[in-house]
Amino acid sequence: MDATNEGCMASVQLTSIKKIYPPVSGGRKKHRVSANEAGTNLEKTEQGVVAVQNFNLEIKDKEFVVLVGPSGCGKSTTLRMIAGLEEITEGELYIDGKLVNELDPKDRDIAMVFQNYALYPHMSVYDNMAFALKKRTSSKDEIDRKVREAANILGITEYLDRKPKNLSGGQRQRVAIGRAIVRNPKCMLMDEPLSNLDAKLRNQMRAELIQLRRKIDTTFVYVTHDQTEAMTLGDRIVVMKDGFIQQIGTPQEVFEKPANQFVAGFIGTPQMNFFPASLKEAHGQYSVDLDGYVVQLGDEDSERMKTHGVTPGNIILGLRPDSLVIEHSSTASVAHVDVVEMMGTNIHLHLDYRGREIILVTQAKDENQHLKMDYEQGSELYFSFLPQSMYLFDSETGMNLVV
Amino acid sequence: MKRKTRTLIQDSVASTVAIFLGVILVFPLIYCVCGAFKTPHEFLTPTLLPGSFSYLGNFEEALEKGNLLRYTANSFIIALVGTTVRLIFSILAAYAFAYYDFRFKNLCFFLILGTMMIPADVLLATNYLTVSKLRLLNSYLGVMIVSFVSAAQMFMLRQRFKSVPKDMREAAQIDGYGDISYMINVLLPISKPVLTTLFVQSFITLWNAYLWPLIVTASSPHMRTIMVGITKLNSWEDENYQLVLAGVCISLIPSLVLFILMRRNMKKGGIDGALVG
Amino acid sequence: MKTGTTLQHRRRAKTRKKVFLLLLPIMLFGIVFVYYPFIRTIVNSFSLVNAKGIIKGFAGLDNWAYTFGRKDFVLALKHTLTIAAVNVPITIIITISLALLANKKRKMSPLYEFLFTLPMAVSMSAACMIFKSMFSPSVGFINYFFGLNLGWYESKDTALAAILILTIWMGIGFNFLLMLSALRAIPEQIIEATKVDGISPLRRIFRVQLPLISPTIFFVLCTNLVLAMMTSAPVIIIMGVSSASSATNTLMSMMYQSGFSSSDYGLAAVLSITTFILTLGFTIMSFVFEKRKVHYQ
Repeated sequence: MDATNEGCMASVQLTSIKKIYPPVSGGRKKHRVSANEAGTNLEKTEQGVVAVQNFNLEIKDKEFVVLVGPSGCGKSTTLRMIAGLEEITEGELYIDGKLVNELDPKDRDIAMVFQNYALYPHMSVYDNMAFALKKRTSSKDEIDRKVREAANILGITEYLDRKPKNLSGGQRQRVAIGRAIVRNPKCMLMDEPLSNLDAKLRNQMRAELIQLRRKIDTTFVYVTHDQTEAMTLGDRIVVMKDGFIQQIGTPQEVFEKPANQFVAGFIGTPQMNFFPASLKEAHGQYSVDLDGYVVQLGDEDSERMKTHGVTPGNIILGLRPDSLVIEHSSTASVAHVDVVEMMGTNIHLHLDYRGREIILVTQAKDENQHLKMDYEQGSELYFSFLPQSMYLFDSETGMNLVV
Repeated sequence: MKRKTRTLIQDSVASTVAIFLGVILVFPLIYCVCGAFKTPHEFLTPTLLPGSFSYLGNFEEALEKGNLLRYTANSFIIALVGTTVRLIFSILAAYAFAYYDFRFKNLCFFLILGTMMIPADVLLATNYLTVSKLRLLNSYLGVMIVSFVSAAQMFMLRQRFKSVPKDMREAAQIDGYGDISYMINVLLPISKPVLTTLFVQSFITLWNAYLWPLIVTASSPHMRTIMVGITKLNSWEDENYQLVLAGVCISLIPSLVLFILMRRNMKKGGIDGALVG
Repeated sequence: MKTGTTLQHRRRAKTRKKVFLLLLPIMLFGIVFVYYPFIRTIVNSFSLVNAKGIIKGFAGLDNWAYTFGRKDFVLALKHTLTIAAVNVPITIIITISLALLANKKRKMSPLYEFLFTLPMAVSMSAACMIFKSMFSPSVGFINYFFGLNLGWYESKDTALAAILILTIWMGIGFNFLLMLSALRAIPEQIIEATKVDGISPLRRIFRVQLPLISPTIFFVLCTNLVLAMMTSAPVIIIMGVSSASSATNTLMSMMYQSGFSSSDYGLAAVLSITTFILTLGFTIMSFVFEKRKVHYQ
């Protein structure tokens, strides 16, 4: 923002963070945990439900980190712990090197954008943004300057006099962000800010957020359940499930080297296909047998597996939809066409492979710009895949065997 | 077109009947206003209309001799301060129930709600003795003090506070606002409709109170409220109802004004505030 | 390092202190001016209480026996029950009828709706004074207009009826409002369905509309029952607290008399508790009635 960015940078460090919701006597909390619990496997101890555990993360100064995962995985809880809205049961939280576990939110120099924006409905946009500053600066001029600066960055200067109810969803969102950045916080926390927008607006705002990122140079912690947002916005992604971190890495790393089956299935659209297969080993050479169709692993991967001491047996084979290649010979694997989704440039083919649904993504037009053959429902389709497209997971633990 | 005219006729008849019934219903008020303008001599003949509506003697007499001016002031202070305190107490309690969880929460809640089960008149005698012991007899506080608790208002406010999204409180927390400043800067401003309704209702209730003020101010006539005052207007001269009615008119003015305002409010919002007293 | 439970305890203690302060005012006054008097009144009814309100000894059921044996108590009881028994049904009938009449929104609706709710803006004492003058046998309008010669408040035979007219009149405004809201809350589509099915208006009223507003009717019943049982002000104001008022004495007006005219706190306590128990009993009975007749959606 401005050149004198005093408050604007900080690292955030979480060490062994754990959050337990005790079965408390004030009915409310219990309710909330139950809602999250549906469909998750949070550990239940006698002290209560463990919403987050074993959470270790070092966020570098000015880094944009995204916490992503399905509902109830603990991402929002973690964010709220950073904010100070939830108590940290165990572990330490450092902001800018300072231990802040016991500090109130207002003393942590953080700002937060809520999912539902939480704008003060009875105040104008200007007042909404000035509200937080009133407690910190007394100079009216300074407040005015900061508000206008932030409004300028977000392009909401013309709305400064309006009340939230007279703004569209996207505009409100910008005001919510404006309210947060106006204070030059050490760390910006965003809790699913795009979830309330319709699809088109979401794409637009996502692009705007990326632009905004360039203008506002501060540490971001962003929570979402949408992996597309995570992939496009984050410098690094933290994938969570059931209160545990599944993997931390750059979007690239998480995509190409998923730590386990869950991450592999969560990241990437359409979802990765999983097949039960068997791993064979002969003379130091590993190969994967998918119901008779055998593919040998590359040398590098084989080497790595040998050093890990991986033994042959049943495994889960993961293949991304766009890595399945359509074949015309019957030596390949066979599946039956179920649903054809015309997605414009691509066609998503939902296939029935031995009773399970898999997806194959292929281009709608071939090299000569002719529409490829019509896919009839029920017709046979052969596919193969390359060794380098394979992801191998332990059938019990789901861990990636190659990485 | 026959259906249309049929409906028109039906509506006209219904409206006429309704207005007629309405006038009959409101007749006592019409009578009151008319009587207030009658001279003492005119009043002896029980016709409805006064000679003219310009005779203000009754009003003057009521305000001066009948001390109604002072009584009005008393009532006003009691109603205003009492309503404010009552509202504040209810706001604080409602806030606690809406935003905090604590060990005896349910117990406290039902304890407060339980006060609604006991009709106030049952407690008159003991409360009188209590107020007497506290040496608050014949004082404004003595009259107001029994009205400071309104479980119904607290209940309504709690509903209202709970309907405010929780992240608004959290946003204010992050902005550095504690409970009280959050209440003042955010929560109460956005709860204006409910607050207004409750304030008006309380004001009218306290303004209209009779029995308790009567008891508390029994030995100090200058502290009387207006509702007590108007009943005393015909104690010294027999059959001076024109004076009484003038006093009644004066006492009804604030209630009527507030009533009309409330009607307008109710037309906009729902009637959800109407059940609280 | 465990960010221990000591710091959590501190935070919880802080919360507890905050909550305590928030609830203190309302609970303090609630205890002092509602629960304490309630218990104390019960205790008084079983005790010998002097004119200063101090308990001098235990009286067992003496106060009660004495009270129930008094002729004027029986009379007051009769009056109170009569008022309750007459006031409530008539109020309900009148307000429902008015509400049904006013239900449809017409051009003149604002006017007559205003008129029908207006009594609610009138205070008890104001109404008492108006009615007292209006029903005055000598200069009052009622006798004059209807050519009657009734004593109304000044005659033993008609006093109770006159009081009833007053209390019913007072209740119409607010209860009409409730009934009207309830009627208007019935989904339009249900009414339209009855029109399409060709159901006669009378049937529609009794078979559809009334059942659907039965929760509100029940509420009106309960609240008016309690109010009727507590009737005291009209008696005190209009009839005056003297022996002449025994024509219309109610339990609560008698309580007022004994508590504040004769400082007989024991008697006052008995009367208060009796009224409370009766009222509670009727309310509970209403709930039994509710189970059978009230339809909730």
